[in-house]
Amino acid sequence: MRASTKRTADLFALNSLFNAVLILSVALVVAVLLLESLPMIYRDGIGPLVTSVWNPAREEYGFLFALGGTLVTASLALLLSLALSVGSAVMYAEFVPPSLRPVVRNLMDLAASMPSVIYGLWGLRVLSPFLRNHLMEPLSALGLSGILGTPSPAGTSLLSASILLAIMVTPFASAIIRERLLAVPQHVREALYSLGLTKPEVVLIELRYIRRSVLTAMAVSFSRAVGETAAVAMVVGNTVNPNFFRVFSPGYTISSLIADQYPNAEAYYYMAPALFYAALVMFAIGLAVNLALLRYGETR
Amino acid sequence: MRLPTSRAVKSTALTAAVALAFALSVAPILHLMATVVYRGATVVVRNFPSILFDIPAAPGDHQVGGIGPHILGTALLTSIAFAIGVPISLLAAVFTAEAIRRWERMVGRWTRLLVHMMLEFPTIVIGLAVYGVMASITPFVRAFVPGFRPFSLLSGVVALVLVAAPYMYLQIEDGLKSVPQHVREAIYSLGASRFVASLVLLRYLKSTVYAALSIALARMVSETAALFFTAFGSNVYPPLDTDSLFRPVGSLTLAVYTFGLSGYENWIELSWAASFMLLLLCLTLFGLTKLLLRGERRGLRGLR
Amino acid sequence: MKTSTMRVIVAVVLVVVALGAVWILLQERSGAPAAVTETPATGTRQVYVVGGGATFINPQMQKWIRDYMEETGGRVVVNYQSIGSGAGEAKWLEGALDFGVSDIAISKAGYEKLLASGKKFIQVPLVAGSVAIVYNLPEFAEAGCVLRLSGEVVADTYLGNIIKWSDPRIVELQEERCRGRLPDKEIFGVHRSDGSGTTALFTMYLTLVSREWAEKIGYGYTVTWPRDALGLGEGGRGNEGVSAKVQNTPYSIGYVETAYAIQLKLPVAALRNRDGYFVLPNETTVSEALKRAALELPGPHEFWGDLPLRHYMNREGRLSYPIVGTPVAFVYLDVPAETSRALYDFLKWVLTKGQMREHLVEGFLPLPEELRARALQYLESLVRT
Repeated sequence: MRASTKRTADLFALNSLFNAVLILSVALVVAVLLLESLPMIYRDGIGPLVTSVWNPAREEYGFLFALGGTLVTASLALLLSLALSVGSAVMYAEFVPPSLRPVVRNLMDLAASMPSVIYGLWGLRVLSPFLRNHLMEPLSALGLSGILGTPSPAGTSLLSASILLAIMVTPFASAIIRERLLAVPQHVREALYSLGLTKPEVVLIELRYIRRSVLTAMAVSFSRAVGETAAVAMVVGNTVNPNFFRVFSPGYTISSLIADQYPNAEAYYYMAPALFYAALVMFAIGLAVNLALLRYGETR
Repeated sequence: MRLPTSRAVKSTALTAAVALAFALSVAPILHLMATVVYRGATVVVRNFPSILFDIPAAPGDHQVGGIGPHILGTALLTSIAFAIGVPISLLAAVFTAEAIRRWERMVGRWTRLLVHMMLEFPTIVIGLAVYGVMASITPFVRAFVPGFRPFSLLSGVVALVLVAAPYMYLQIEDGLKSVPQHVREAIYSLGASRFVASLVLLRYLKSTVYAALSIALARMVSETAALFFTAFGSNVYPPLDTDSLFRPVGSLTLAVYTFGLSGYENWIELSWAASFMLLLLCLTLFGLTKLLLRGERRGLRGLR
Repeated sequence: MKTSTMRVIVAVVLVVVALGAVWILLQERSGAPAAVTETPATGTRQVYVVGGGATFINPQMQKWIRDYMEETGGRVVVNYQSIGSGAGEAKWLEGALDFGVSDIAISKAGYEKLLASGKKFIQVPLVAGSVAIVYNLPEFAEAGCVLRLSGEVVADTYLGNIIKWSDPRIVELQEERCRGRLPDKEIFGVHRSDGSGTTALFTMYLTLVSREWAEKIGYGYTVTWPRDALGLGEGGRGNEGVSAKVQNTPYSIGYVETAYAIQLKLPVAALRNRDGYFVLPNETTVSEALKRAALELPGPHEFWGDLPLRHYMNREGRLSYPIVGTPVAFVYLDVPAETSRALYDFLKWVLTKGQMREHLVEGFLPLPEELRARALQYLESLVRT
């Protein structure tokens, strides 16, 4: 008995091999990214970050439009999903009768695990035309097209991408918030009610109580929204759009730019490096936002 | 003190807002599922069972053919990636969470940081990086394995492992960290080695582990962008022999993407059919997890 | 009670899926997918080749592969994926593909790399391609008029020099009875947003016919579009995206591969050719242009990157359509005999039987006889060495 435990004692250290595998593979990905983008960084420095040109014939690449598109779509999606996920989590925890909860929870959890490419197909064939006809066209007709741009015939646009992203990340975010809401100690809740507060008022206080988890949920949503490729590439419209705040117009995000342009990138000298550079920049932004939010969320 | 009426108005407004948010987040999902089931099931039922094993028909044909190679590809990719990814992320998570010595803690910290970074990569970039590595080792590997190709089942598997492993790793590590100290002490006090103790801990965390594995499996099944330049795609059945691991394969997600963006009616139908099958697959995986978790604690908790 | 119902449902789904899986496996065992997965009777090993590249030819390629494998019993298994012309070339150069296909052949950069590597290779054209100018002019459709354009006018439109349909330079090209029907509306110029061979061919043509275009823009898979800056143009993804935009935007103009224009039944403009005749893209006019290039076709291992520019486009002859090209396949010569034999077999089938109507997807046009003969001749070096 004693002997057998002794023999397995060293096995634990062997586990570190698997850590090494993970570390090595991440390092490899980062290394490939750096190596591939180096020619462009060397040639143009931070130029591509602040210009919006995509002219391969002259080997000019400035991906500000895609960077902007990424930030605009991810932020819009973040705001929308904040409202949607907090709302639906509150609905679940406070209003849905316990007998119905499993149905709602299973539905949301299933939605969270569904392939993004299905969302993309639905976004392309159903959501984008719908948004175009019932939201963007009427608003443009009201004279907003000067500010928000003109919708394209298919409705594929930065706005469609944002809304699709919000729909996609809400189940994730709301799961996190809902679990924390349910975990609010019963005595806290009872104490609040005993003050004579109404249900919505109690909920508002509870939300303040769990605001760190809401932040975590937002961090998750943001990185999912920034990194999503397949679904966004299907609905964002894939057009070089320097006015990326005109969300009714089609645009690019960095991941959709890569998906769209990489296929022909290697016919040029600097396009592939430019695309990898863009990926590197977006990675840095995502990491910074995420770490900041997590750091803030973890300091209790 | 506010007036009772204004409080009542505020309360009602808040309730209404919550209900609206709930409706807006559930309605699109229901519509999406209904659309996929309606459009996909029609195609599948009309062409059952040939759609399950046939190869796609020519574009513009009045038939749709099938998505057999894609189903086969998804099955191969996910099962192999799962078999490889699970032990790596489980054991690495155990090591990180149970690290005591200084070097162990350092390795753990670095793993955690880098895995966090991994989550920030768009999956298409992971795919491109895997292709880059595979292509650069091809000339050397071909000296031993002449049939080696950088576009292959193997590359697809590596990409999927890299996409899904961080999720498993982080979730299980978080779970391990949340194990109450008295439980951990009780296990160690039995005199078990650290390896055995960590296995007991994983058993204790069974529901978290199941949840993590099912999420990872769902991510593997769902992944598209990472497969573009790794698994490559295939509309034909590759021959089955010793080189099979080094040949490209298709996947259901690639089928949805490529056929969905094509301009041919019968290919778009195939795209819906593939979506429907993916939905069924996710539903099955999901049900399976719930089945495994019955009686255990609440379902998919702690997504992060 | 709720959870037990759930469990039953899940169990039923599982059983159905499991039964389905078993059934599929049995089907495959019994050889239901016919020739595709079976080893042919001769008992030889199946040979597997991977190709990738041009998106335009993908529908046609999938049909060829299906038909070819059906006819030959799956002796050679071909996997082609549309990863884009540029990637087709690059991944082939890196040795990841057995054959690559590009809309405009190997680029200058790629050709230099090839020469440096010292690898032997050949190039063959596969099918006739052409770019159609499509438009949406309700007034013309009503009157049964066909729009007539010249290369200079198209270039000036996309450059932003011509703003409206009623521009005298457009009016003077039209048939007498249609002149009054050109509306005083702005032209909306649609183009491809993704990098594509179609754009490469189209911009090559504009480079050929307009000095200003050649100086300011040039040609390539992706170019900048001056008309966009005026708010009078935008990109669409793929031939489908451009077609949809033109279809849905009155007073727009766009360019797509002729195959798509035919398949989607879009109005196609007649283009003035070098001899001054207005021609529509179809089998006759495209062949008429391409067959003239057959004799001038450079050797199979020479630089083909500017082939459309120098030999295919804007050819003489009253029936020649000006914007034509050929997707080109490239294969290495120094590969295992098994692979080159398989590629020879497949490509030969493509250039012979594959060019017949029953093996062509609607809208795709066969290579003219003369060009096909040259291609087959080039192909022979795959088995000769």
